[in-house]
Amino acid sequence: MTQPVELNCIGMKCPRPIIEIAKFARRNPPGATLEVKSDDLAFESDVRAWCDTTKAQLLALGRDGATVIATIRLP
Amino acid sequence: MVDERSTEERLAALEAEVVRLRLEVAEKHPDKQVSLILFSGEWDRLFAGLTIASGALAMGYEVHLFFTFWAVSALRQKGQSSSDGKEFSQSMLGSMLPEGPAGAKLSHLNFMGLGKVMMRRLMKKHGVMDIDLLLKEVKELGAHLHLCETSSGLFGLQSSELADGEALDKCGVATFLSLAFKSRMVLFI
Repeated sequence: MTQPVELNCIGMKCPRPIIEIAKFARRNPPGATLEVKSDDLAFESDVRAWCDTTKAQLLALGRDGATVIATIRLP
Repeated sequence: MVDERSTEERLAALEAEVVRLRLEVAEKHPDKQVSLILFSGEWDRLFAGLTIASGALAMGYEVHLFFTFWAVSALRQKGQSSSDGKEFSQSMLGSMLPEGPAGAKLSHLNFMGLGKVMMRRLMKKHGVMDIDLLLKEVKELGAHLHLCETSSGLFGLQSSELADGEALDKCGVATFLSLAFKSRMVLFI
């Protein structure tokens, strides 16, 4: 598996992190992986909902202090 | 009653029926579509509507935005207002209504615009997108924008005064309803 592409969404509030993920998804092929970092309090819940709705795979959901790190495989 | 048809004939009829029903279901429930009626021209309501639209687009939904009544101001282009060919009251309205979403007023605590200045400052500090950028993102993510023909006619708005004037679908209630009927979610804001 190739290294996931990093997407830094620190400082962005809802709905921006989700928009950034969607834009990444449009630029990249299915199966591509990305690692999103966000300090938005809604992000943990939102990224789950995004993956659930778009049928993307949430490979990992971790935390580094106030930063939530989500690893996603595009549908 | 005995069915005189052969098994093959009955099977073919059954297959045709399944195809017909599939098309009927697809027609009634198209894949992932959301319709929003933007009626209010107030800044915060436009902001909420555009936020929901951007989220739905990001989640892979097709989004239809129907701008009607006060919300048509959100589609006006800054500095492109003209009084040419307008009635006196239309020109008056044109000079009083905002040009684009950024010029709209808050629905609460506007205080002659001071409230909005504070709100925008606060939002910037907290990393919340500005409404102009939000509208830009919504357009770029592929939202379908529909403009209520009656409202724009009432306000005397010409295509040259509107942002993406030529690209806008100018339509009536039936067009919008036909989209709304096929949507999984319809909101009036």
